[in-house]
Amino acid sequence: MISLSRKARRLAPLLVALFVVWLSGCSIGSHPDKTLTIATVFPQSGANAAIGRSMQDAVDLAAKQSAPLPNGFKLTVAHTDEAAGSRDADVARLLGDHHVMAIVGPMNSDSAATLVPMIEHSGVATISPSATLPGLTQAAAATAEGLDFSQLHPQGSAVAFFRLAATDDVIGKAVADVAVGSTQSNGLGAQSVFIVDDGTPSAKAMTAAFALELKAKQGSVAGQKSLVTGAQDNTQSIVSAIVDADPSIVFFAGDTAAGAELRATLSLTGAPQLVVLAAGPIANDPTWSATVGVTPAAGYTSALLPHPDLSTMTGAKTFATAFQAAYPNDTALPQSALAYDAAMDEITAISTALKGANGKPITRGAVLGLVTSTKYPGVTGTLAFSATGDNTAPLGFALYSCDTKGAWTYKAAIPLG
Amino acid sequence: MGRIGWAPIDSTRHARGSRTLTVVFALLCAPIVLASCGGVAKSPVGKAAVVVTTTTTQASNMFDPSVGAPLPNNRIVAAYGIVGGGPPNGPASTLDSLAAFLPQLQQLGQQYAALDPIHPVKLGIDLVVNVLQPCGDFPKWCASWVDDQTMQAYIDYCQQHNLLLFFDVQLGTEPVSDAVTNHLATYLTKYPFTELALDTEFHFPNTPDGYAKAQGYPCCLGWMNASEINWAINDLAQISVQNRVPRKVLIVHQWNPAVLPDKDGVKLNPNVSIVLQSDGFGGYDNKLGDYQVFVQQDLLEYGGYKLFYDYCPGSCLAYDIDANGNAQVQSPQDVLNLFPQPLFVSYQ
Repeated sequence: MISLSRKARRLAPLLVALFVVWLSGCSIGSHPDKTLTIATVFPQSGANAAIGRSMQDAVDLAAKQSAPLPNGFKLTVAHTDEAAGSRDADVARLLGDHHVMAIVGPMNSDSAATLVPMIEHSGVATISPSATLPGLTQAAAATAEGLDFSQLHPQGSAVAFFRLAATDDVIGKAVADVAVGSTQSNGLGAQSVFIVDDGTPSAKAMTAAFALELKAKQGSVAGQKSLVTGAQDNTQSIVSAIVDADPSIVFFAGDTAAGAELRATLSLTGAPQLVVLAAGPIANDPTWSATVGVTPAAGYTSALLPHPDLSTMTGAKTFATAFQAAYPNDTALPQSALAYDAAMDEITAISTALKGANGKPITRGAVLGLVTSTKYPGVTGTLAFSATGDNTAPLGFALYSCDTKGAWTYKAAIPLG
Repeated sequence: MGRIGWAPIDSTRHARGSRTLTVVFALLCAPIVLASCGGVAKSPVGKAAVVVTTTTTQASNMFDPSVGAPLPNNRIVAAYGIVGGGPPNGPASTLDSLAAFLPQLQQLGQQYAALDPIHPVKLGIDLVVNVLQPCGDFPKWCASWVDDQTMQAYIDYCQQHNLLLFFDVQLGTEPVSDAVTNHLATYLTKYPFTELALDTEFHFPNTPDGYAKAQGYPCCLGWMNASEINWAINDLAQISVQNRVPRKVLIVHQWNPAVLPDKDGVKLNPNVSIVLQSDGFGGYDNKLGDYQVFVQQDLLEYGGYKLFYDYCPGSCLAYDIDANGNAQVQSPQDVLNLFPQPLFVSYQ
């Protein structure tokens, strides 16, 4: 029986990735078949599969619209499932393939926390449309969130991980303002809020900011719990605590599966009209009611998406039209527009590098340098990154509400806090 | 505010009675990595070139007790009755009175279903099959059981009319384990639509002191410890899993704080649905207050609520009274205004 320490086991995927990158180093820059690849890391299974598929489609659309690349190069797109158990190995394999010049994704902060060390070591330009954990890019926050920033961003490596969304602390503040805001200003008018997170660092960061802002606005915390997905006793005991506390609303921070479990348990237990306010991918998720399991039980849910609604993005109409024409069975989402922009930013960098290389192979470093330094005017706004990889002009938010028929309605644009 | 459940029963109807996974994965990856290092590009990474591995769940014949379970995906609307009792004991007290009440019960069910689209309604009867009796007449447990023939007649009726059947037991000094094992297990195992209800105020410890208190009822109120309830929960869970019948419902009646002295000790089990029913007749305000204290502020899992008709104006003691002092049960809408909305509603 092989036995390793917990730390060593955690590092194993990274070591494999480094090994792969090292082995492939000899061939980077030599791809006589003239094929280059951008990869996606989005959920293709699980509760976020529909959103992941829509983001994947958007990257495919960007690649199609950008063909052909200069100098006779061909662009392909490789998709990996962020929700698969083999995610780390799949991404390591991608990073080990010298054709891969850039990545769009991952969608979730938890995945990013695991994958960023590999990405930074590989030097593959990676743009996440939706990872929100502050510590992914901010050293001070990383310490508080239990992340080893020196492992995320090894000294000497160029920053290769970028993101477009605002961070959890900013989102938490904005969603607290929605909770206590007047109904006339699209708020929920809550006085007391029961806070539930799914135990992830991202959710913890968001609820911490939420609680601070709630108290600053004279709201009160009726209770606070962490939900363990799949543990029915845990969810039921949280619901009992919520019922006992009788709050104005419940605030949930976390992933869709845990949020759906909480919503379903609350509704089925007899509190269907107790409003759950969420933040993150739950908002406007086309499969929300299906994930909850009982359509009417999905109602009385409001959610803040950490991106603007498509209708408010000036350039997104053209994107949405092209998306629906290409993928009539999928839904164009704000996240898709961001994924599209991320892909276009990377493809533009690849094209620029190719033009400058006069027919010679290009390097990942050249692409990364261009993504880092170039402002890209996208359909969602201008993409530009700080030295740490954050979006220099993060976008505002969109508030949605879900009715008892499972339909989401866009309510309002919510500015950054 | 009060509660009456005890009633003399026709004695002819009662008998006595891997930590190494990551390392292995890393080692397995090495050959893949080595194989891909040829110095010359082989095939480009494209949609077809990337092997997307998803976890597949092996087809399993694992039994899921939640499939077909009454709660929490339904609301149960039930007629109460004490076998052999009269109209004040509830419409299910005889099969004739149950048959007469059934259309009204169905109408109530339709009203609840229309008001709450989340919970379709399952109809049922909450049937007292074991009642507290004078210890002088029933010296073993100070309680009597319905005879098997009557029990079977109710089972057949419920089966024919698609009704859930709750065996409601008062017990006297009989331990829950004895009652379930010796009197109810056969039915609970055989019939998927049979459930259990514990009427805590009529239960006493099987001790000399408990016996004395049972003998003195109603001078002394009964109670049930969490250990007895937990025994029932565990046993119902086993019955469900071992016999592959849907998750059972356990109703625990409460109309007074003293009847559940260590309620915090009740342990939930994912294979049993537990309803704490706030029990008691009287004015709406008192009933709502009880529900708030027993259910909302101390929720076990799901809430239950009981309503009392006035079957004998001027002579009945137990009925609900509206704000104007009239004998009147609350409407389904009134009941659904409770927080949390009760998933088990019974009519006596």
